[in-house]
Amino acid sequence: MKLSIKNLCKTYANGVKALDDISLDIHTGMFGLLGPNGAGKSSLMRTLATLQKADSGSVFLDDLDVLSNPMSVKKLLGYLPQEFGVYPNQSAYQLLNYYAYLKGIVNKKERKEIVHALLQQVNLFEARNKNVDTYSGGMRQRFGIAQALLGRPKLIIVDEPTAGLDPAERIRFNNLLSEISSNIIVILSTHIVDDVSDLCNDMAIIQNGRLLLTGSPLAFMEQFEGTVWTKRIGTNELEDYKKTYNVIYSHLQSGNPLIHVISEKDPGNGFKASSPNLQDIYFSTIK
Amino acid sequence: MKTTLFITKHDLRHSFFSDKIWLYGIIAFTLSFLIVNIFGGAFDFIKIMIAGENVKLNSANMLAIQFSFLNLIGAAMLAIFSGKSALKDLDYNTIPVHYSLPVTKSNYLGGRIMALLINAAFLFLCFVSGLMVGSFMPYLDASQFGPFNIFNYLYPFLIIILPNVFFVSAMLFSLSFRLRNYFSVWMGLILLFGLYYAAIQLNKKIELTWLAGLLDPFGIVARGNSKIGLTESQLNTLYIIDKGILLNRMLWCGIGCVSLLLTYTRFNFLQVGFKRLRTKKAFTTPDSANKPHNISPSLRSVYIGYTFADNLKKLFFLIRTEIQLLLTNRYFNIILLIGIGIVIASAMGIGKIYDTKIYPITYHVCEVFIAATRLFLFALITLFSGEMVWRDRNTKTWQLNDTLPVSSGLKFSSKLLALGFVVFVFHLLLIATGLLVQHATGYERYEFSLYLKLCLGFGFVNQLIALLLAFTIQNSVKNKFIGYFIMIIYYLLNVLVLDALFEDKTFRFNSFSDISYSDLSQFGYDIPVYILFRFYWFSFVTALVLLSVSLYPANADLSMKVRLGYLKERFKSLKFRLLIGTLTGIVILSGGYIFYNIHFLNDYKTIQETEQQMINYEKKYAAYKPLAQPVPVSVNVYADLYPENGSLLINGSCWLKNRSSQSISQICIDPGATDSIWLNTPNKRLLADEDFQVLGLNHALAPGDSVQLHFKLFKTSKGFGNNGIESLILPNGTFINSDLFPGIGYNENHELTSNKSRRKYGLPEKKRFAKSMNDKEGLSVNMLNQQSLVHLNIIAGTCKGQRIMAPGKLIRNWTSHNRQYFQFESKRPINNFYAILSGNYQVVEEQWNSPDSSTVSADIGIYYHPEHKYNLSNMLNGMKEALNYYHSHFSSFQYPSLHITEFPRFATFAQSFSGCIPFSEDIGFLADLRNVNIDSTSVMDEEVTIDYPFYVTAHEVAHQWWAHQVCPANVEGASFIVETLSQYSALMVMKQHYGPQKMRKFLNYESFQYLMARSGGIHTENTLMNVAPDEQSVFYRKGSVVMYALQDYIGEETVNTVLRRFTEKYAFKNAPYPTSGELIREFENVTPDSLKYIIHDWFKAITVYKNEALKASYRKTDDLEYIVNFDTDIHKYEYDSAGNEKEVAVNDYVEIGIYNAKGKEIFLEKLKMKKGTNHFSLKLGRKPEMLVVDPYNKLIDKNWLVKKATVKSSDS
Repeated sequence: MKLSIKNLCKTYANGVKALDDISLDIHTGMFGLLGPNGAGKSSLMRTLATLQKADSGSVFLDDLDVLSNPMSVKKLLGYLPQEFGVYPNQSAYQLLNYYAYLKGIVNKKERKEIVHALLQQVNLFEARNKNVDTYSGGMRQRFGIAQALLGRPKLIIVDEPTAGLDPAERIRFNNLLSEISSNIIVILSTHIVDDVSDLCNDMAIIQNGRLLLTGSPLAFMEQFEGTVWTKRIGTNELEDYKKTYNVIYSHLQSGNPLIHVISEKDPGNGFKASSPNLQDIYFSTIK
Repeated sequence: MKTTLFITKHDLRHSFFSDKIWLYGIIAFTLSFLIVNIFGGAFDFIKIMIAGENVKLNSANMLAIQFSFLNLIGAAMLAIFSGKSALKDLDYNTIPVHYSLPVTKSNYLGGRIMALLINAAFLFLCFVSGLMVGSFMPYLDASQFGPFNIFNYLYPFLIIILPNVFFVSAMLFSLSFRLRNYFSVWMGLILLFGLYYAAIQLNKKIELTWLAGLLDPFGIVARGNSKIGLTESQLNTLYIIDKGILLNRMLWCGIGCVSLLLTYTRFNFLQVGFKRLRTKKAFTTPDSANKPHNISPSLRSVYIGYTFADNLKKLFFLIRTEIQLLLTNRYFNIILLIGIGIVIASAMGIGKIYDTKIYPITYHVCEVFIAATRLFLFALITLFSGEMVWRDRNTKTWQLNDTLPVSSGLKFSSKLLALGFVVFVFHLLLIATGLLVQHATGYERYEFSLYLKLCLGFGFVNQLIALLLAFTIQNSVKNKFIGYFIMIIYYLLNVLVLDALFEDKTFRFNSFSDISYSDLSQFGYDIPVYILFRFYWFSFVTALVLLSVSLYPANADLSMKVRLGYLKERFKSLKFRLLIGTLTGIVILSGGYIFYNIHFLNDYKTIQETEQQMINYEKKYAAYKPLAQPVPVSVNVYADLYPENGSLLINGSCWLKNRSSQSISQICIDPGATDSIWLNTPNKRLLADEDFQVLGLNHALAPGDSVQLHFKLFKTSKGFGNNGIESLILPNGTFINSDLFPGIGYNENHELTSNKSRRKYGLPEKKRFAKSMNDKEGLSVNMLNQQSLVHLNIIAGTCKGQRIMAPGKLIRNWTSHNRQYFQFESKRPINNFYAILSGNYQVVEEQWNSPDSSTVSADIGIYYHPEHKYNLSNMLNGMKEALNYYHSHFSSFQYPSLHITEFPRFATFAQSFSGCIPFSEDIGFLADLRNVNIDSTSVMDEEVTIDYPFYVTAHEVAHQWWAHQVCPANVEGASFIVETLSQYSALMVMKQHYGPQKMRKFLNYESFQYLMARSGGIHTENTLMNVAPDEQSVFYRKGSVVMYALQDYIGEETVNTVLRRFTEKYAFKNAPYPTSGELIREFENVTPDSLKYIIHDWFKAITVYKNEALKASYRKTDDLEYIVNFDTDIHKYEYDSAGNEKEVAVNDYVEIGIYNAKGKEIFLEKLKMKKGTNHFSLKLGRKPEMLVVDPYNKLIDKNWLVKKATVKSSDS
């Protein structure tokens, strides 16, 4: 299966270019979408999830024209938005049952089995009779995951799925995603770079609505091998270093900045060679 | 303070730019501008009268009325602003930030509320300026405006607008601020509208007007009450402020203050209680991340269905879910409870129309329920259509729901059907309640199918149209509040102006939505028309709904451009185009068919066209007025009525006799409804217009000679007209009268009466009743415009199972061709004024024998609908006692028979023809008089039931004397003789039967109606002696009170003696006909000098008292007697015909009643009083408790409530 996006553009009424000529091929497996806040990730996700129209461009899922056949896409889709509400006074069971029904699982017995199994899978079975609007953030997120998995989706789109989950939940969720992604397309939008390097065999980075980079994280890391150098510097020296070196980012390590620099050659001056991680690639791309 | 101002400024800027308050300002200005233009006559096709012709539109009182209306729209706008202001921080998620700022709550709330009030004031200034600018438009009828006076605008602004703006915004702000949601704003608004509505209902009970005035939150009712009894000229000049208005304004401003105070004291900057952040105990599960789980269930193979059957299943599932969501919605439950409350309240009110009870007959029950719940259901539909369409948005579930493989159409339909189902069930509930009410009151005529027809076929079906409209609107707007606003505007337009705006039913939205029902004729022939109209409007609304489905707020982008894009896309589908095309075709075809029926098959006239016709009539034919004309002396009518299909065929003839002194060569004929007229002598048709014909006789008709006029009439309904099947004949209960037949000579009744319109068309001003008491022409004809009585012979046929009733004695009936024929003949000549009735009646009959030694007797009886047998004995008694009284006191009864015949309730009157009294089903046949004979212990008892079937019967029987024996000249005051004397006669019969104690309530009611009518009168007022034929309130209401008082002051026998002599002189005579002036002179002659003033005050002038009991006390003497001291305050006002008021001196007798603790009368006497305070002291044998001035309401008094004072002990 292949999702191919060609020349996708979207400009909002206020003039913001959310998607600027994006072309992208996404294959079976997990696909990571990285980008800073406001980069256009959610716009792209919403467009793929048929929640919003593009101004121009095309999206095909194999032979299926996504943009002009929203209903057919919806039949294949599992979607977990970044933020979502739930109806008041409805228990998790009722609500999931509701979604299952509308996804087309009309057989009562089958639906019950599926809903039960999913609730168990996301660890909400014991709380199934509590109203979802009283759930904590993490539980609600797990509920969202459960509904996204309903009805054998071929295309799953998850927007910041692990936000609000505790570390253990996050691991569990990631395992689940990678498990189901074996023969379907899962698009994961996140700004947690580690999640992408852990899970995805393909990825893209977008910024200001433009696609900056796409490919496999492993390939990128190979490509960057030997070009990343790090150094711990004094607190006040950062500006000087930025002038002299190609500093892609800095973060604090035990109170002092640790700067990452890209350079084909050893810059000397106390820099140490570092094996490249996705963070380095990300920051060098969006710079 | 600075912080407060800063917040105010910030809020104002926000509301101006973001909330677009200027847009509302423009709407407000436009609306009020339009209103002045409409009332000011800018649009010829709309005619709305809200007060008398001479009341100026820019007088303080008229402006107050216009503001009262605008106020209702303004309140809806205030609701939007109050909600937005109170919930601003919640809307923008700024609570955590805002509440952590170092701002005090007085700054925070003060700034916010100040901004809100400034916004509201701005809005209402737009209303004010709209009215002001509108009034200066040069094309308006200048005679409707007085000179500009800023105080006229200030008055309503200060007493209506300002208090309302304050308390409405304060209350709604507090409510939504406290409850943290928009819903409460709308609930609050509904509550206010509900109170206003309840106050209007309550105001119909005289003794509760004060409460109604207080209860109405907008002060409209209180202001309305304060002008009762005022005249046109006073309405033009006065700034009315009375106790009622002040109390009301104080109460509601007080409520506004209290709600603000509560908001202030109970508010703290904590986030507790906020819905979005509420701290309902969050539920967490133990972490079990490491638990093994089975293979992903999402990969398991299950049946996933998208077939039509599956979608249908989904639809039902969705409907179930929608209903479940409604039932778990707190506000839905509250509003449902309110609805049930309304049903219970109206159920308890069933059977009470004003002050009289009627049986809970099915159509009445349904009408009460449907009317009482109309506004409620509209509110429910408005609120929840918005709630349901926008729910996914507002709960932010759209991001999940809109990616489901379910079409918007399916989701939308489920919402529509779910709410429709709720409304349907509600109507079933109404039926159940109705049956319960009938059962509980011991009424056992359960008409199940009628319930279904009325509650479902009419009630529910019309709510369904509103429902479809509401959903369409919600689909097409940017948020539900705009939808609410549009719905409220629609409601007001629908109730107030749509009918006037679109007179033609083809174009008036949801026209022909009701058919009146009568037990006799049921729905008439109109059911197919109703169904056609429903089909037409349902197709129209369905097309709208289908178009709007594409605009349903799904997906991320809600801009109208995108949503219209979806609609455009939808049009690409051939199926959709076909569907919309078919519906449009149906609308055009059915609309075209309706238009064809109204305009081509039937004669449709707009108000303007009718007016134009009247103008033409006067301009073209007035020249024929002076021609002498022959008069009818004998009439033969052969009528065939076909109730099975509504046709009517009449062949008639009448002998016209030249009673003038000159020969007549031209006969002018008003053809009435006839198709053809011809004479039995050679003649030429000189003029043959539709509404006027002139026949020139070849040989002039010499004085004393006669000519025979023939006429023919055939009426059958062709299709339907603007008011349905316009048929003279009903399936059962037909009532037609001689107005259909040709009239002789120019008829002044066809002239345009409104002087305002006459001015516009250049016609001379017309005195309403042109002929003064010494007008020769007027004196030569009687009130029915006749110069002679006629011999009448009627043969009429109707279908089998029905019978004919008509004036005269039934001399023959037979069957021919399976039809029933009846012949009536009047042996003695009667007025040329008769009716023919046909129906399936049952009859009670009796013989009446005169109580004296004479041999006069008559067959009397009632022809009634078989189910309406409740009050037959009261009515029959009424007939007998009335005949007895009039026969003994006035003159002997002239006819061999007298019958009451019931006719359908579409008109609510009874009318007296010679020996034949058609009597509406609604004014007595269904009165519940089971309590009428219960003795009330106190004269002040408000629960007295007036036996109005008895009273109406007595009144109509009296017309056999006052109209059919003594018929006055066709000049001013004629109605005094015909109607006031009939009122008097009926009151005497009532007094004789029920005793004077029970007359109080009746007189109070009559007095009140007179005062009410005075301030709403279209014309200036005449005295009773000069009363005009359209001054019902004077000759009925005032007449009752005055004549009752007259016999009380000068003696019943004295009055009757005058009447007996008067009858002797004028009964059955041709000209000269009597006048009111002569009769009143007779009364004056028998009135003692000390009372002569009453003749002047009551008959020859317009006077109104304003009396009050000031204080009263008693002292017990050693002889166990009670010395009572009391003060009264007496004022008397006299009015000229324009209504200018002048206080006059008093030297009058006013009755004082004193009552003991049990309410028993222990003193009743007329005491002479002077203007202002009068002090009295008198001795009584029993302990007084209460003192009442004029306890029996014998005097017309501005103060229509009981004028009482508690008699206190002065010992302590």
